[in-house]
Amino acid sequence: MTIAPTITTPRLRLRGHELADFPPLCALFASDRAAYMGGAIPAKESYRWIAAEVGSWVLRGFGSWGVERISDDAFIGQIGINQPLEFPEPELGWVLLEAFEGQGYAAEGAQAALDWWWDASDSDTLVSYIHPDNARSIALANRLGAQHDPDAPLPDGEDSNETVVYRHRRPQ
Amino acid sequence: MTVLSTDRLTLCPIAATDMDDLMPFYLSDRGHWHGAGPAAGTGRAWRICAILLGHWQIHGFGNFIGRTSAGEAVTSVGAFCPANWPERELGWSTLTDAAEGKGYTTEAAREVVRHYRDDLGWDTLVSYIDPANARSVALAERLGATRDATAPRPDAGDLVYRHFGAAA
Repeated sequence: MTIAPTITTPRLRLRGHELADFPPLCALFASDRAAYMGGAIPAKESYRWIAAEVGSWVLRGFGSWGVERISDDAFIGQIGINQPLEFPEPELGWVLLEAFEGQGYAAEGAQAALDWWWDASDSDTLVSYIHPDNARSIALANRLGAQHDPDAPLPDGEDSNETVVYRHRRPQ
Repeated sequence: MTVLSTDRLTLCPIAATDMDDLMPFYLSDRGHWHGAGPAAGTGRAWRICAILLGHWQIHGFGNFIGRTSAGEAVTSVGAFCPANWPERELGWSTLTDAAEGKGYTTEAAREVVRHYRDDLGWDTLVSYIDPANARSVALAERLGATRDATAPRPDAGDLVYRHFGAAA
């Protein structure tokens, strides 16, 4: 059974999700901060999404991590590489609890996930699906070196009004 | 890994290798009680399987798949407890029409209830059942579970059948 590998960066630890991650993440997904993730999502739905992203490790060999700050073990958010059947290809996503924004943590964690992907998979690419109004996430995708890919297929049921595709490519 | 056994079945935690049996179940009419079924499509069925696999990793317990000595997958039984549920809940499914009516799910559920109570020492276990699901109500009663009219429940329309323990 494949489980999430633990990855450390200078400030962060990416590790498999734990039960204690659910209350803060479900609260986040139920808040206005989830506007770019399909709107305020009831806790019941969030639980199922997160659990499926844990099960993805078993089915796909990749999935989501809970992210902790090493200095105080604070749980700060989630980073994941996921491909439910609706997704035409694996997607890198990130979300931070509000209190931990603005310190470069999302960039640091997402870069670590990218590095893991280039090392662990044969794939030369990964996408991020981002709401076109989500300027912060688009800025982060650019900072990670991803480029807007207007020709990429979208997840089933989504259109360009709600999703733009940023494509990460394996460094040469 | 926890492996349980009964007279006719071996019960193993569900694994990626069970997908060939679980996907057809969730895509069939039998998946209806689980929010799946033919109309819900493969994406929904896959996601439910991923949830069940993730549940084992998050909680350390979850669904077992029961196979006959010939290796036929006939039943799925186990406890589920999303973060916001009041108690751990035992669910069950007979996986195919061919396996229906042979007592496999009852046999597996008896052993899994025993495992949670005696091996793991849990305090409580309930099943939340849609009152329209007459077969499931009958199975709960066959297992000796009793109706708990006052226990909190995630869906106000569900019946609560209590296998052991009392609501907090």
